[in-house]
Amino acid sequence: MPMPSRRRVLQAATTLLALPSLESLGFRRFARAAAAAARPKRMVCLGIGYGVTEETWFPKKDDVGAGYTLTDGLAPLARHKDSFTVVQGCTHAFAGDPHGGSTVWLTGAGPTKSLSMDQVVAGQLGSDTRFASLQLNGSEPGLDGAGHGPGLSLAWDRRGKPIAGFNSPVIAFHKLFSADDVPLAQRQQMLVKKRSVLDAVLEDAKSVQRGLSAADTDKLDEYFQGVRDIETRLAKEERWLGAAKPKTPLPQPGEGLVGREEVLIMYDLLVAALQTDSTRVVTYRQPIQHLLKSLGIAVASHDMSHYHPGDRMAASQKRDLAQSEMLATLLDKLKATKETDGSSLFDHTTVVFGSTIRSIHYLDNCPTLIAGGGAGITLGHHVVQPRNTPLCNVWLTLLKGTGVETDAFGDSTGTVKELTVG
Amino acid sequence: MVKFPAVSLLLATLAATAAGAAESTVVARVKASTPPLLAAHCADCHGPDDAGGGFRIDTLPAEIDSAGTADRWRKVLNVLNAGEMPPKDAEQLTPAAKADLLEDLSKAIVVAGKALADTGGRTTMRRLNRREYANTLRELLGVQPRPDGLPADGGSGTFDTAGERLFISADQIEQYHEIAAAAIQESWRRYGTVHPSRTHRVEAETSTPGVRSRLAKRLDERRRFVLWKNAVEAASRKPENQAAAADIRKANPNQPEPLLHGWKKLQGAPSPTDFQFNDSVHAVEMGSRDWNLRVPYHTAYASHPAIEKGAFLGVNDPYVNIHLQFRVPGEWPPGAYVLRLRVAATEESLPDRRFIVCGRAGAEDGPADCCEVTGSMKEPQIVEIPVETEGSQIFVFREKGSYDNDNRGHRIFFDAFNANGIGPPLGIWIDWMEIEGPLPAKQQAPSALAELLTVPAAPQPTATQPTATQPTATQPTATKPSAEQDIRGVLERFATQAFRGRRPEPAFLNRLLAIYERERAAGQPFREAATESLATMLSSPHFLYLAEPTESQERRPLDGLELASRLSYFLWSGPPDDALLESARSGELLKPEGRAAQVERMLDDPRSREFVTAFTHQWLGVERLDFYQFKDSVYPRYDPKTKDASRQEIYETVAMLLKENLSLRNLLKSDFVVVNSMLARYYGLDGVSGDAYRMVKLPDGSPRGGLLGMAAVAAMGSNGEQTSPVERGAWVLRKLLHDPPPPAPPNVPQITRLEGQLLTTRERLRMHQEEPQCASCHRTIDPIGFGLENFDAVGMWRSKDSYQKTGLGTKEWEIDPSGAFHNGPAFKDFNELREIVASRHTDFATGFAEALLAYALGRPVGFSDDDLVKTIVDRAATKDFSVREFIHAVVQSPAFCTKQ
Repeated sequence: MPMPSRRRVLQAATTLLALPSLESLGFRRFARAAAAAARPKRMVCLGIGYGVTEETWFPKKDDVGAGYTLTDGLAPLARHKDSFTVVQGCTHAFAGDPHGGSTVWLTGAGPTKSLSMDQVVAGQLGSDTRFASLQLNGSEPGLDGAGHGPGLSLAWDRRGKPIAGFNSPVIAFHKLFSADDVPLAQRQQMLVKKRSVLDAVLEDAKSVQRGLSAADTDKLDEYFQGVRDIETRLAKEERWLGAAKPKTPLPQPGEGLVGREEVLIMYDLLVAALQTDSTRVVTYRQPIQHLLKSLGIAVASHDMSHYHPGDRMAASQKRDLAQSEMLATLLDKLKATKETDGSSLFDHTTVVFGSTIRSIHYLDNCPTLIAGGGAGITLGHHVVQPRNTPLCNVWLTLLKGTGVETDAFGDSTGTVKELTVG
Repeated sequence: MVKFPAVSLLLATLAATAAGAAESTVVARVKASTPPLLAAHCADCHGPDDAGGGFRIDTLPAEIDSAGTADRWRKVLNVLNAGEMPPKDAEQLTPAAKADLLEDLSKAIVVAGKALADTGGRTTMRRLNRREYANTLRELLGVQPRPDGLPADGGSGTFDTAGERLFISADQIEQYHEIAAAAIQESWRRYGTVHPSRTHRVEAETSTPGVRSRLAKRLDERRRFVLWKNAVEAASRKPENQAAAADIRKANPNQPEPLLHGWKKLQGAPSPTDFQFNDSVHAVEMGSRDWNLRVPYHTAYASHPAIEKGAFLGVNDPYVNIHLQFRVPGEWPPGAYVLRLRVAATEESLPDRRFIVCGRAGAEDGPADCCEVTGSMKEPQIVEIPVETEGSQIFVFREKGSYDNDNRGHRIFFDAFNANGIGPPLGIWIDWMEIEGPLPAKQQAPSALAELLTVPAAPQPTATQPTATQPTATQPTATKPSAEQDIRGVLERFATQAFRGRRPEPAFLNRLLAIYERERAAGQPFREAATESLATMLSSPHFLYLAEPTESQERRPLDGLELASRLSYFLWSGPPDDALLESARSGELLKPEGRAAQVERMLDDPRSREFVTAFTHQWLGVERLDFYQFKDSVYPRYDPKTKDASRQEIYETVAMLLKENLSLRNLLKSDFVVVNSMLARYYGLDGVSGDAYRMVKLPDGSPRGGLLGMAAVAAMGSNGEQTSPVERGAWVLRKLLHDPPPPAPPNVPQITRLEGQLLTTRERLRMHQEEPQCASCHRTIDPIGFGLENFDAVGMWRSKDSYQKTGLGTKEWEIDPSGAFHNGPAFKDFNELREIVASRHTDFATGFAEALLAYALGRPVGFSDDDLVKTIVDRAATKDFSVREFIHAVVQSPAFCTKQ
């Protein structure tokens, strides 16, 4: 049973960047079986809702390949230019809401509702970690009305239902790192208690189910699925009972951080979550209105999205810069977090950044930036696909690169060759 | 009555299907002229000979009766909107023809979407939304969790009662359990012990010595600072220091008081420590910050005779005089309290700000009460504010609109300071503050808990208070087993209340009992062990869902209990009470007259407020009011409390119509408004005093009266700074005229041609008419918005507007509100526009009836409901559209009384 040693190792880990947890864990695995030494892959998806400033964010369409010139909007990422690739030309054919940049972003959902890419990955990578996936949301109220569209996070389950997320850094922090100071025996009691509660509500659910119409049965299925999910989680919790939550590499975030501060602390948290191997899949639906506010921009987010030269365009560009600069900070952190073999977290993580909205009301040429070595894609390039190539082709490429065995995702018609060469 | 010519849509009404069959009665169809027009322009490339892009236009059916066909039409619409088709080198449509075509297609697609989504009257079992869950806990447990701490309802754009959109997930199930357990624990604390009521009073003048001593301290610091500063400057002027002084100034061009910070480099300059400062930074901060400008103000305050016996709500200044705070120290049990203040307004106080805002420390942006101050210094008044609280608390008071944020407080001070050299008038005076509670009248335990409360709480190490003495009826007697002995019976009775009259299944009860027993065996006292079982009930499906089982797929009439729940969640957003359950059990509720009597009773009950607010909020899209911050430098009068009051006006008006059973038409035009003193002042209406909303007759020719004249409605159609004729026009079409414009299409090219020019609102929006993609909708939307331009972004009447742009200057113009409905009548000003809108009350009533139905049934209203909607409107029309008549019509309708 590897848990006790793992716990000791994790408890010993205190500093952010030189955290030894992964290294030690990897070392032990290596000692036991060389084959197991491969670093786990991870995926991080960052949804920005209202898109970008088309004129100053996208590289020129005829300036492709490795030698392309960075644009003003991407300039803060210059130090990482070899570490990410910008993809142009892709679209979700079924996206229809010009104010909803995130609803179908990871699903490409059309007439049939579908699982989001992150959840496909979580199905593959989530079994060995405390959390199969982590969903983060900006704390700003009415986030879906402000550029993201309906949903409870970026993630959607296999029945096309929205998956809830954590809406503040404080909540996420507690879920990830707050210590269980309850004695083991009591926690085992707790699990038994939770199971008996589940047994009771299931009993009641069965009696509700009797005689329901088809549509209502479908509705009640959400409840059954919820109970099953809790059971799965309890089973997992049981397996993790012996292992304390990892020692936090971060101080607890302050209450009430908004906008830029909040994004940065969420980035710290997600790195910490990956670093401690609490999860391998993270999505983050980012704040928009609050971001503008924290940048001292008085323009309302929807007004900004309908930019034209002047205050609104300036606001839109300032937003791009802030987002690029924050993303650069995230990449710094991923690179600085080292694994046993000298590689970094960055080398094994795929970071996807973008939106279904290009800018304004445009739903074609979705802004797409991919960084990290998690899916083994070509980095440092500017890739231009033919107009209206399914964005799901990119997602399929990432899925395959992450080790998911599938030949289709959403409305994909194939993988993106330019992302898999070189 | 003006009825506009039917627009481009042709609706084919099919023969009515058999009653109750789940088919829509409407299919969408594009105009007859559309296919030939498309054929002429597109068939060369998208015809039988050459299906360019794999797309054929000639095989596209005019009737849109399937999702596949709708998708193909959407493609046509999208390429037209995006300007991709026809190709640049091909023959183009004329702008007018293109606009008509786009309007036809987008509307037909909307109709098709609605028809295809038509459930044919089928409702989906729904869970309680967060408001309903909170209200239901309140009725059962006597404590109310905050709705925003509850699981989200997800999805916007529909009512929060729509079953389809109310999801549940693992996290939520766990959250429900936690919230319920916490609420039950609070109930034990609140009702499990008799809490004697106490009063704690603080005289406001206790703050006076602090203000005086802080002012004296600051004045002394200033005095020392000036002495030091003079000494350093004198040193700097000495010949041996001149070069050094110049260097210091040059090195720190932007620093205030550079010489003082560089004092060490000046020979003979004294150290700040000689003047009792820690260092130069400390000295400069204490000596020269802007509080110094407030000295006259603080001096005026400190020498005012009235602060010997009270305190004024002054300018917040952490250095001298902070917000007046009322500390309630010690342990206070959870419960209902009353906060009392003896207050007065001085003669100098400003009418707009003659209100006192009471909030809690640390939650200053949160909900706060606001009361008008009518007492004078000669005759102060006592203000009472009910509060729910627990533990120690700090309440904070301020003058309305004076300190909603730092900038505003700063500006209010300096505006007055620049005018009079002192600061704002001392407006509101407080004699004392007190809290009393928990109020005995509010300590009556809810009936569901009464039985459980007969078992005394487990002895606590520090508990000295007596345990609850319950009414003798529930007191355990020798003949009746105690609640502890009859735990199964107790759980069953609680579950029956929680399940809204439905008895729990024995198997479920067994499980609950097992949970209880295991807790007891583990050493938990009675209440703690029961908590676990109760919380389990409150997260189980019979509680969370409004289940209406149908054995087959047939429709069936609801039984009494189901009907009671539908009714109570419709009119109260909460569970049925005993009277309603009784009516359900006796069968009275199943009779139309029994139902009508219950509706009347329920609408008269204060709980119907929940319906009025929640329904109206969603029906009229009032959430838009919170999308933007109103610039307080431009609109100082529309401060957060005035904004709240203006929002409240919408709800209060609907509540008044409901209470007095007046006509819905009053929302389009009326000769009265429903306002309190704050709003009356805002609107310039005299003679209204007090915080209660009441009907106030309007003078002739007033633009107020009806939704279009309400400040909140005008403000919703703005971005906090400027008006948005587009938002306003679209809102009128959507909410008042029952003619919603199609949703904003994706991928329409943006127009930027007029950038960098200083234009009037009309000139800017004229571009919408130039491009057919825009004109197809905006020719209908924009003119209505222009007609409302006399209301500024916060609903004040104006005759001029202006636009300012950095680098370009300012343009001012006379507002021209005239215009014409697209293919409809013309109006020359707001009055005429309002008359036209008011004449379309049947359209308005139809929209209202549809919204009511959707809210009440928890499902979207489709074409298959057209007859039902018409029945409701017709019935209401016979009573001049009185509001209660609509509700009766909904409740008496077969759809409301049937599960299908």
